[in-house]
Amino acid sequence: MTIAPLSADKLRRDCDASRFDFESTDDLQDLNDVIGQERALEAIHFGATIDQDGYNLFVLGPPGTGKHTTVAGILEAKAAKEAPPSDWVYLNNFETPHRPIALCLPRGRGHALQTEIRHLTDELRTAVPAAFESEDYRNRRQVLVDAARERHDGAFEALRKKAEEKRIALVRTPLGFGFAPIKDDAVMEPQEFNALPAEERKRIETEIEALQTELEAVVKRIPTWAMEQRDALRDLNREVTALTIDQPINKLRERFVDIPGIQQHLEAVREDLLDNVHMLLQIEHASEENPSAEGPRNRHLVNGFKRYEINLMVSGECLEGAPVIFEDNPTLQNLIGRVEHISEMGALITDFTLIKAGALHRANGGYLILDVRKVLSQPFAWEALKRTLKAGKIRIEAPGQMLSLISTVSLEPADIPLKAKVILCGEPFFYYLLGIYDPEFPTLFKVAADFDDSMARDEDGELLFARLLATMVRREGLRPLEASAVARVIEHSARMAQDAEKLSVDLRTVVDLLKETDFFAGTAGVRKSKSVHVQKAIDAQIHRADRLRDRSYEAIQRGFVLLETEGAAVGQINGLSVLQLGSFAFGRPSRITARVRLGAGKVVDIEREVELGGPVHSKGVLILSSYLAGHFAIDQPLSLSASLVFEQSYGGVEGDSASSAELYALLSALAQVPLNQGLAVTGSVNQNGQVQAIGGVNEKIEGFFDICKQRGLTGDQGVMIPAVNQKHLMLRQDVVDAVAEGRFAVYPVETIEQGIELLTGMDAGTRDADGTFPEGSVNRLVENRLLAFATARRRFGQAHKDCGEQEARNGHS
Amino acid sequence: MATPDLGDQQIGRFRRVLVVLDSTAANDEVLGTAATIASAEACELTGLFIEDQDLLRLAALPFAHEVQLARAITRRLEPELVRQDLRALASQARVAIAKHAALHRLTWSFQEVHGRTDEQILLAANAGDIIAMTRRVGPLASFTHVSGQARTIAARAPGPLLLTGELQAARRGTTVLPYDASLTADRMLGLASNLASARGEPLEIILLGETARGIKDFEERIRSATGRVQVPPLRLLVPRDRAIAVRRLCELDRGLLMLPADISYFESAQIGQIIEKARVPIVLQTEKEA
Repeated sequence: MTIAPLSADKLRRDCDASRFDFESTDDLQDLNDVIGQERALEAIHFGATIDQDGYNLFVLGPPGTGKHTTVAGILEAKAAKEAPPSDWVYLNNFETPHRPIALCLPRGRGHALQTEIRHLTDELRTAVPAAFESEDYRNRRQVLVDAARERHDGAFEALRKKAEEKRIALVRTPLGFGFAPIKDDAVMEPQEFNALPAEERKRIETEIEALQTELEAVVKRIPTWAMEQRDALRDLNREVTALTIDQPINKLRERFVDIPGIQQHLEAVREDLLDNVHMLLQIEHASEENPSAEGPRNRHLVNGFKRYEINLMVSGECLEGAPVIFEDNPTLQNLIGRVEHISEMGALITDFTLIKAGALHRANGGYLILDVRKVLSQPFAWEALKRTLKAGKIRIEAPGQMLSLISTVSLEPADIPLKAKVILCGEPFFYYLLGIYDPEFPTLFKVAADFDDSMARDEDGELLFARLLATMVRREGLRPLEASAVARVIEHSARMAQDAEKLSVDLRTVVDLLKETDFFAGTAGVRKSKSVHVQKAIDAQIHRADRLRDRSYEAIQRGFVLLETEGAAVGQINGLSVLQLGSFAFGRPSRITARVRLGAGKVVDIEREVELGGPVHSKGVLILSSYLAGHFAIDQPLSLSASLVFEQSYGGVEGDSASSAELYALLSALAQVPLNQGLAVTGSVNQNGQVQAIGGVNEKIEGFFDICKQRGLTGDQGVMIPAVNQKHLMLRQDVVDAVAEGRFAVYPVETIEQGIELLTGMDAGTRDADGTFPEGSVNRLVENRLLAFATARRRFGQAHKDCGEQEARNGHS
Repeated sequence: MATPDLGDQQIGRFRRVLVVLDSTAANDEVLGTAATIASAEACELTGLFIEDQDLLRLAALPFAHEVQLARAITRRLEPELVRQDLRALASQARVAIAKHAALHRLTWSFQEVHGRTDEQILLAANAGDIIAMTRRVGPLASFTHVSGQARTIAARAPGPLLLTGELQAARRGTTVLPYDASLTADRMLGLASNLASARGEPLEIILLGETARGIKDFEERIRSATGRVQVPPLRLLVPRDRAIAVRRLCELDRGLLMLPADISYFESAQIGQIIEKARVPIVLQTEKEA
């Protein structure tokens, strides 16, 4: 049952450029559709269209598959047909300034309102002072001031005169007034007063007491007078202000009469202006005269005219359709907006004009695209995004505020209702992890658009891919590709997909290859890139990345790492593994050895014992143990102790692709039959001895080929691969050539029996009618050895038992 | 009318501004205006804090009480209590004058005296002093008629008298001088021009009576009075009659009024009326002292 090696044409599926009906990509039309992602596209269209809560999108797929570009393209096309969003503004809340009011305006009206309010305040800056400078106002004000002064001074003067008539003076003291008798226009000296007759002194004291009572009454009325004067002045100021502001405010009311909420705000503005405009103008005037004083602060802060401004958060004015926003840096504040502060005299202060919009504000009424990795890596961003989507409104909250870390004055802006689709893009494991660990995730992102990493490589597929290349070349401004170059890129894409029947849609890598191809074509001075330039670009990419591969192979060639590529050895085989270093992967042959002896039926995986083997590798070893137990001497206890090891492996070993090689080594060690060292083996095995598919088959074959080639190909060398992996073969041209010339071979193996025959050159052996393997077969040798182990073990066990009984008897007697 | 040759007499003729600070005065307002004038005239600022004898006598009377304005309560007055208050006020006044002097980069001094306010002002004032005081100075001053006391002090003072106070809050504006070509008016012209220049405001000359006819080049007259080439923006006004001139001056509510106190164009009662009504700081001067 000798297996034939694969013919050269099975090792690589070339792309036949002669099939193409174009000479270069110049002849191809742009491809506007996304290829190979029908399932994902359907999901995106569904998710973007369905108008239900929680139907946000998660676009998952490997990096470089064009998730962002595709989603953005679809959404932009869809959004262009949708209505632009409304404007949102924040307004000062005159009653509770720390809670600014959010107001929605029809598209474009926010800017108009902002401008009108600015014009209003500018107008007031001129009109109000003019009104307060008018002769009419000044006269009326003076009348009030004079009246108040006259009332105040008149009351005191009347008291002074009344006292004067009684020869008593009203004396100003540091804190108020007192009464004293006078003589010669001066206060009487105490000695003189004491010299007066007692009745006279009594009279004076009595009169002074009465005057003091009157004075107290006058003084008590002063606060009332002051209040009355303030009220009168306030009323006058309001009246004069109203005359000035009512007309422009009424104009504004008329202009925005259709907007709910604006009338109340304009009324609040009017009321505030009536009470404060005079004071605000005085502050501005003072600040102009003395810029170093409080002026600048007042001019720029909400206690100046700024309080009437409109903070236009978002406007749909410049949009033709619904917004599609991609937030590249989704920090908490970039998502939900922020309240900025400014430093004033060492303190941080803020007002409603310092509220800044976040991506959710900008995307309101449209679509927001986010990279899930970035969202998850930003503190609080994920929680805030979920909270916003769940609540359906945007609440601006600073992290410091949420954690009560800062005590500075801040704002609680009113929430803004959110009507937007959020699209998260990321690698699949984020989607699955979130699904497992975040119970809210499935309720908020109900639609998954799953991007494939490859597409079918059939005739149509190749042609579509060619058009995709043409589109990329034109978009990137590169030289056109000749048909042969297109074919070479397609072949490389199949190699990237690790499948001769698939094409990788890792567009980022393909674009990079096209750019580098263009570079080499440019260096060669040609107008169109040829296949040779594509190959140069591929070779250069590999050469830039393969330093470690070279070092690894050098170690083998120089004998530091022991590896035979000729001859035969018992219990020793060449396994193959793949090392992935960044984007570059290469195959590395390793020696696997097996040792057996009498034991309790245990196969020791040395890698596992020293914790260098992963669970999948251990699983493979356990399976091969089971294969042994199930195939040989099944009516006897398995009485061997075997050990398996990857020689000179100092890193971890994972995967089960070496399990067939380990089994061959074990069989060889049991049967004491040497294995051909010119062959390397890859493939996992099941309990029935079937050889199963593995990954990285191309790299593994090429890895062993390179070692053999460096030592000189003998024609007896080759690689055994699982037969099912044939479809994945996209080997390098030099390997294909060597096979074609009979200098190297690739064997498709389906069962362990096939493999052991190749490796030993002996018949594997099948049980005959009475259940025994034929004499001289590998399996017979294996079974005999295992039976011998079992017998030896039984004998050993009996002898041990007899010895024990004798000792017991001796002891008893 | 010939231009008087006053240049040498005018330039640097003021030695200091003597600011009267007492327990009843609106010290800060008067200090602010006084410091501006001292700065314009490049002279010293001197604070004169008067412990008025009438106040101390009141405190020594056996039944003396004080009705406090802020709280409308009556407390017993003791001499020591009043002295304490006065010491505190004097200390505050000293700090205030230092602050204003520093602001205007002036040399300054401070005196504390004891006696009757009017007398102490005149005793402290020397030739070359501008006296600055509130409209109601001293503990016995009238509430409604301030012009009498002011004119008395102005008549006896060796130099100009600046009257100001809380109702004459220093709102910037034109410096106004009613001009009748008298010697006093000419003397005040230099000071008015300097003050207008220092304040960066125009100078308004109200040409009284026949004065307008006799004057051809007022700017030259000012240059002669100040000894300086630069003249502030000048505005000449010729009122139709005396009543209009009085009304104009009574209605002043910003700037500074330079008023020759014995100006013959106005009747004495009209001068009193202007002093009572005008709501701006007033500089009074009489010919006798010039």
